[in-house]
Amino acid sequence: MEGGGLARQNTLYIVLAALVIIIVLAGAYFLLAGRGGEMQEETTPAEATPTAGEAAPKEEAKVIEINVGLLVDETGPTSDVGKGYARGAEAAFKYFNEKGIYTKDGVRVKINYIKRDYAYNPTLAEEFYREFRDRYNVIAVVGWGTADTEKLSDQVARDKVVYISASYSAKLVVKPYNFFPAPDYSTQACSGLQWLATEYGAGKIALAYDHKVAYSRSPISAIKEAAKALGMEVVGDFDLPLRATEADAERIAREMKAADPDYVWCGNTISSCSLLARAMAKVGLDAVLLSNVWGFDERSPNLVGEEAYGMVAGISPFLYPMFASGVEAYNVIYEAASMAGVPKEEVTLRFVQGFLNVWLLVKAIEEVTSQDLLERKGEALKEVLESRTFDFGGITAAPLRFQEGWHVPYKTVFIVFLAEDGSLQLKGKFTAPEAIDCAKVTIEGG
Amino acid sequence: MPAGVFKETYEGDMAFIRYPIHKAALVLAVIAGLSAPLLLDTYYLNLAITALIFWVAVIGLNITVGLAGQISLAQAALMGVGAYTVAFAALKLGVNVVLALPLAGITAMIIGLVLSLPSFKLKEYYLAMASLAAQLLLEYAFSRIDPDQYTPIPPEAKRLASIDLNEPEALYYFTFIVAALMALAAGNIARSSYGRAMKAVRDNDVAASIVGVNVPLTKAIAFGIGGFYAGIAGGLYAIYSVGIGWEAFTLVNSIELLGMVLIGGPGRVVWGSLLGVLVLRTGWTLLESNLVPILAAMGFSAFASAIKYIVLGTLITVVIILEPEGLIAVLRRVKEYFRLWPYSY
Repeated sequence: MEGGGLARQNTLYIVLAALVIIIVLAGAYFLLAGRGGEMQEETTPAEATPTAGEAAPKEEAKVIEINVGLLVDETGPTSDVGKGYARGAEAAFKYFNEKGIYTKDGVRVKINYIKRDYAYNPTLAEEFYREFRDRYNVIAVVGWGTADTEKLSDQVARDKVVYISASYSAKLVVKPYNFFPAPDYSTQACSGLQWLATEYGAGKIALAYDHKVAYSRSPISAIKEAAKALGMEVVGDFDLPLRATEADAERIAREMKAADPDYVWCGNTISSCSLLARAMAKVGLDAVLLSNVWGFDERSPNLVGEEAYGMVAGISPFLYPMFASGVEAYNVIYEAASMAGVPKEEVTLRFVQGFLNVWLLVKAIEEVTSQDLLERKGEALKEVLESRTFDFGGITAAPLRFQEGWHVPYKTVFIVFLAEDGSLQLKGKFTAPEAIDCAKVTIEGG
Repeated sequence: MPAGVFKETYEGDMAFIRYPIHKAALVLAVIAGLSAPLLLDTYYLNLAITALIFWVAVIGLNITVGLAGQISLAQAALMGVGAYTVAFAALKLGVNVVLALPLAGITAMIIGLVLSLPSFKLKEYYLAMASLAAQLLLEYAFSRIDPDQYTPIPPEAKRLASIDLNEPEALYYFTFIVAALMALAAGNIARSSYGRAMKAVRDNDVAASIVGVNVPLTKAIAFGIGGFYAGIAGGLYAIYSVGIGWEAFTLVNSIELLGMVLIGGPGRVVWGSLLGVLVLRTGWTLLESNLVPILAAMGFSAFASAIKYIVLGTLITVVIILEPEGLIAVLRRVKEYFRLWPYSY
């Protein structure tokens, strides 16, 4: 073999040997790192750290460390609302850790949160959930979407992991370990229909939502039942993609115009719903567009365009920050935002939604004893969540009261209307019609 | 000619285990495989299970693409066919998932055979387009039969006699056995007359036809076998999962599987496929769970989420340019070095 060839071969082997060493070291690191996720109670730096299940003598206990998963969508089809939610949740974790979380018996708790962006892919969500559970031994997850939360709901019940989601799907209210600080989507939508009936009277309603997305589909059967109860006529289901383009929205608006509705329900997120509002104005469809909670927020006046002013409204179980002057509880959120470097004007509905989910978890932790937190973990949190009233001082439309087997904490929502001058107006609180239990309709409808 | 141990007969040269180093590697692989549940915690055991599942899928694609030279961008969709077969058999008919697994393979094989039809007339880019159409069509079908974005797999359907596949250890051994059998079969297919016919079609289909190879039949067999492997892999994935959703079987997933073939070693159906899976799936998962959060914490969230595709694209490009035979070729050189040691010149 020639000298050059031999030298080349030797160089190759050296590179390969280096690669093998790197891989082995990396593997060893990952294996070791993977075993460090137990829930811990720190005593003093010199003392041994008992893991969950090994309760240390009380007088030595100073800080309990717990792991919580944070599953968000910052890059997927719902990232238009997911980024703000993630920001609020992270700010809350940092704020409460800084301020101090104390169990009922006065032991400080530190929450280590593990954030994963699953891009609204339920398959990826399951992978991350396994990581949360098996690698970090989380006792709770602050989650996101409907499909992934519904998919994991039975598993989290088996694992006894409390799951507080940004999905308010009615199918979750009967799942023992799933919680959210809002009425379910179906109850929200029915309350929205109640507002339409009160404000404008009975009429024809068209439903625009993504037919292959669990979140968008969630309240549809309940809306149809509620419309019937309120004397409205459903004139069609229109398949508006969650990631709609202007062309999609315009096509749907034209199809809807043929059905001549008085009202339009939009069950997607804000980008899609705003495009639909624009398209409706463009094609001359003169109907009031009512959006689900994730389909309308402070950005709507800019996104829908002036032509749609006076024709768009949104549902929200939470008071928008812009309407919160004098609401004391909001100061907590502003303080947390300030600590996280978020200016007050960037504290939006989405930020509040993320913050509240973590806040609910923190409130539950504050109601358990340190021993219960260490030994019974998620089970103890679930019991507390189901046995207390959680009051967020006016941020939510009503105080929260979960019942065992039925996690609808309240039934009231705010309606926010985009007025003709482009300002957002709080129309007040509305509740679903008494005659129909919208959450049950969705659960029974499958 | 380099020094070393050389075979003097055709049978010896084509034997499954030819050299002592093969024997040693096989024994080590079996020991490592069997002892994994004793050494790994649940998180890493789950990674091992998914690696084995994807190994099966990539072996199938490697037979179609690497061995027979027929481009396919629909392997993830075929996995989906297998996964939904198991899911619906378990959910709607109450069939045990283990019993539904062969059905998953057969269903996907039939779809694979249908996908082979365009290959009788089309080649290269045009064939890629046809398989792309099939992928998108199946993807659309999945999204319509599964509008809630997930189909649950009942835990009770994962229990057979005293074996509970809800337990990671049991599932690991089950997957390990299935994957090992599938790999063994694939190794033998590659050495069989069918395998040689596939190679002939891959290298020059006109010449293959002239020497008597039934080209359409060979292509159909390659697609059928590829589909069967994808179906079994999809079925295994359904058994592994709490529920399956159509987002797991999209075009991006098909491209990832193709990337695993190209990086591991096209035509090296067993070990090349394994290498591709270890680098692109398992290796990436480990990096992702450690590197991406660090990047995100440093304020590079957008970059962190895109890094997977940057790494994937770069890796495929670099490997294709520098080592078109895949990483397995590098490994083979190392193996040859030790096989011929100390007379490797």
